[in-house]
Order: sequence, then structure tokens, then C-alpha cells
Amino acid sequence: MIRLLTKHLLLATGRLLLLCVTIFLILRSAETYYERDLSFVEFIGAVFSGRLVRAPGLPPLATAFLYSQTTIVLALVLSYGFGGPLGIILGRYRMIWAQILGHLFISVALATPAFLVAYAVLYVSIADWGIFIGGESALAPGASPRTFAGQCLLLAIPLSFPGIALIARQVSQTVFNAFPEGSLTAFRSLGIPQRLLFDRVIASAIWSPLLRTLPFLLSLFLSVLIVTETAFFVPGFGYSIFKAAQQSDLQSLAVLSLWSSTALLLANSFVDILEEWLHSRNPSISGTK
Amino acid sequence: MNPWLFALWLSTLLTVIGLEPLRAETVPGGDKPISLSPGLPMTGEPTRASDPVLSVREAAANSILTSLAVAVLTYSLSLAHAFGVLYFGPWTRRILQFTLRTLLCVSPMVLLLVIHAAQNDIGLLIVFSMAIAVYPLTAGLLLNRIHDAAPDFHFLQAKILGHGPIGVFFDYAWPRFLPLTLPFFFLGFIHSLLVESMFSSLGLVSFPLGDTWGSLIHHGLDELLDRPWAVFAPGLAILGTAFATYACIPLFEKLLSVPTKLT
Repeated sequence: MIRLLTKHLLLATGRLLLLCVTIFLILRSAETYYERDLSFVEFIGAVFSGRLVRAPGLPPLATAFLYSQTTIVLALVLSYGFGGPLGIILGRYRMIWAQILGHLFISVALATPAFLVAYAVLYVSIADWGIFIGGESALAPGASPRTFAGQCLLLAIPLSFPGIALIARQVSQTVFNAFPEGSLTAFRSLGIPQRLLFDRVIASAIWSPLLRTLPFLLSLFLSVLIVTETAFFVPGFGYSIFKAAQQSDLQSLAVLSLWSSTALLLANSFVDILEEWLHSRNPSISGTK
Repeated sequence: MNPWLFALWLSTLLTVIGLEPLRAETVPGGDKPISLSPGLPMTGEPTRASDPVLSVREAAANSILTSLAVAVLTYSLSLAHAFGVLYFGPWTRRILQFTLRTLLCVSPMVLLLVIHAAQNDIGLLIVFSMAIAVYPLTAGLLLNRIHDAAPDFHFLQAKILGHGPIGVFFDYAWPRFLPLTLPFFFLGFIHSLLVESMFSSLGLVSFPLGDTWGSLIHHGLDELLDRPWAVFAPGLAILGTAFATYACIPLFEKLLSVPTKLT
């Protein structure tokens, strides 16, 4: 375990260092970089203390993180909560109509731009849920907690659409590979209880696709948050990135992107460690290369 | 009836229906930036009635051509990456895989490159940075497909026979890879279309060819309440195009007789 942790810690540190050097070099060549006297080490310290974010009108970093973190967690819960069971159903029950409907849903969800769903939700909800959108700060003193939860949930719905589709596709493929055509009939004729078989195989096989999808989902959510938070005027991390980009402030933009990339790197390493650890405990888990 | 053919027909129909209101009533727009401040879209007052008119046909052509350019670049990069991973030695392979994983982590950071390119009005750099944003996902999927279909020993055999990397690529890999990997070109096109429309709907980037479907959405945001179709019609057109392309992938696989399904 210690060897595994050290290996992934070293890899993550290497990647992070590479990113920091690249960003530092890009910034040094940009006109809107204000802190030219900083050395590389001081630059790293200033990035992770948030001191370099200078674009005016940006929400406080703590507020931005609270919003985006809650939204992403909600979107992950929705994606895994609906995508996992849908994938298992698609892989297990192989009726033609279920396959067509399932794959139609997956294709539409993958082809739908998330911002379009965001605008549709915005359009439909303006009449009743006007308090959620615009002006009112959910974190202001005296504001209803319902506002904060509602804003995050409204953002999580468009985000979770491609997530549900991706997870359902990966899980259904895994279940389908575990039980190829004809194998179910063979098991039935041998008298093996299907429920037991399904539970055991599915429980051990679907961990791999579920884990492998996580870094990609996080990357997708972070990118799409820029659009959805801007559409809903929610002062989150994506909105901050948009505002910094709109003001052409490369320095703030670079720092915010570096923060999001660090979060993704850590998530990636976490998934790798968890996957290798699970594989070492149960070598029958497929998909670990 | 083939369900994919039906889906293709339906998505094309949706796209045509989605574009029809815009065809009848042109969309006001211009190069004035929209400030997305709270309350603005709810007023419903037209703010730029006297601005120049955006052409829907031009926007459609620009969207598709920009996405095609990005898709071609993405496909070439992914193919070169996959070939490099399979052909070269373990160290090059590790470095390439490390790069792929790192690039997957920094997709939000690519925004920095796109904005930088847009500020300096470098059209080629915008297309290139978008391709970098799309390429890790396509390359990962493509690599898995090639790895399943063309194991390492084929490459080893070709190397033992004395072929260089260029010879192996054009004589051996290219004819075998083309039918296997062509569906990923369409997948890259879908991702490019979605990323391009995301950027242009925010009004952050103007693409080298001009206004796109995303720009129409950006210009329609002012009147979301009064003329929702100004936002949803181009959105539906994007959805229809992406869905139709997605529906085409199995058909192309069937035509090219690819042995396994796209995963």
C-alpha cells in the first residue's frame, strides 16, 4: 500500500510541476501578468494562497468553491444514481424495445449541449423559481437555505445529463461483456441461480467502469460549469473563470484553471490508487491494465 | 426498420424544424458584446434591433466547417498518438500515456489557450487549442480500439522485417487502422461541435470563419422570454446534427465491416 501511495504521489507531483511550469512560462510571456518580479517558488505559493486572483467583480474564492463543490457533488449523485441502474437494466434485460429506448436516451443525452438544457430549465423555471436566478445571493445573511440548495440543484440537472448517459453506456457494456449472448440460457440449463450470479458478477465487475468514469466526469463537469453557472448567474468557480476570461485577465484565469487542474489531478490519482487497491484485493475485477 | 436510420431521419427533421422559424424571421445580432448581468434576459426589450442581421445558413456552414477542421486535427493527433504508443519502445509509450492522462486533467486549462488565441486573433491557434481539448478523450478510445484489434506482435514483426516507422505506418498501419478508426473521426466531430458551440454561446471567442450556431444562441439570449426559439432553434440544430452524426457511426461501422461495436 505504501509503495502504491508513493508511486502515485510521485506521478501526481510530476504532473502538477509540469503544469505549474507551463502556466508560469505562458504568464511570463503575457501582457496581463502583473507579478513579474515573483520567482517560480513564490509564484506557486501565491497561486495556492489565491493571492494572484485579481480580476475585479469576481466572487470570493470560498463562496465560489462552496457553490461549485455542492453542484458537482449533486451532479455526481444524480449521474451515478440514475446511470448505474440504467446501465445494469440495459445490460441485463435484453428486450429489443428496452435496448432501443435505452440507446436512444444515451445517444440524445450525449448529443445534447448541456447549456441548452440549462437555458431550457432557465426558461421553464423563470415564472415560479425566479428567486433562484439572478441577483439574490444565497449566502447573504438571512437568505433562505432553500435558495442555495435550489440553485445548486438547478445547475446539477443539466450537468448530470451526459454523466448519466456515459455511466449507463459503460456499465451496460461491462454487464454485456460479462454475460455474452447465450450464456444466460446456458446458466439456466445448468441450474445456476441467476440472481446470485448476477449479484456476484455485477457487484465485482461494475466497480471498474464506475471508477474509470469519475475523472472524465469531473473534467466534463468543470468545463460545462463555466456555461451553466454563467447562464444562471451563480457565483461559482465556472462563473469566476468566465468573468476573468471576459475581462481578458490571463493571470486570474491561469490561477483558476490551475486550481481546477489540481483538483482533477488529485481525483485521477485517487481513482488510480482505489482501482489498484481493489484489484489487489480482488483480482477478478476486470479492466485494470 | 433500422432504429439508427429512424433516429437519423428524426434528427434531420428536428434540425430542419429547429431552423425553420429562424429562416422565416432573421435574427438580430451584431458584434456588440452582451453583458450577462442579472435581470437583463428577463426584460424582454430588444436591445439591438438596428444591428446587422446574422445569416442562419452561414452560421450553420461555419459551425460545421469549424467542427470538421477541429475533428480532422483531433483525428490526426489521436492516430499519431495511438501509432506512437503501439510502435515505439516502453519509455516512449510511458511518456505518451503520461501526456494523455495529463491532458485529460487540464481540459479546463485549455480555455486559457483558446482565450489567448482569440485575444491575438490567431484563428489557427483557436482551432489547434480546441483540438487539444477534444483529443485526449478521442485518443483514449481510439487507442483501446486499435489495441484490441492489432496486438503489439504485428508491429514487432514489421520492425524485425526492417521497416522504419513511416514505412510501417503507411504500409501496414494505415490500411488496417482506417476502417477501424474512422468512426472516431465522427465522434471527434460531435465533441468539437459541442465544445465550439459552448465557447461561442458564451460570446468569448469569435471563430475564424465567422458567426456559428453558438453565436446565434449568444445573440438570442437577450430575448429568451419573448423569442425563445432564437435560442432553442440553433440549439436544436446543434443537437440534431450531433445526434445524426452519432446515429451514423454504427452505419459506417457496418459499411466498413468493422468486426466489433464502438465502445
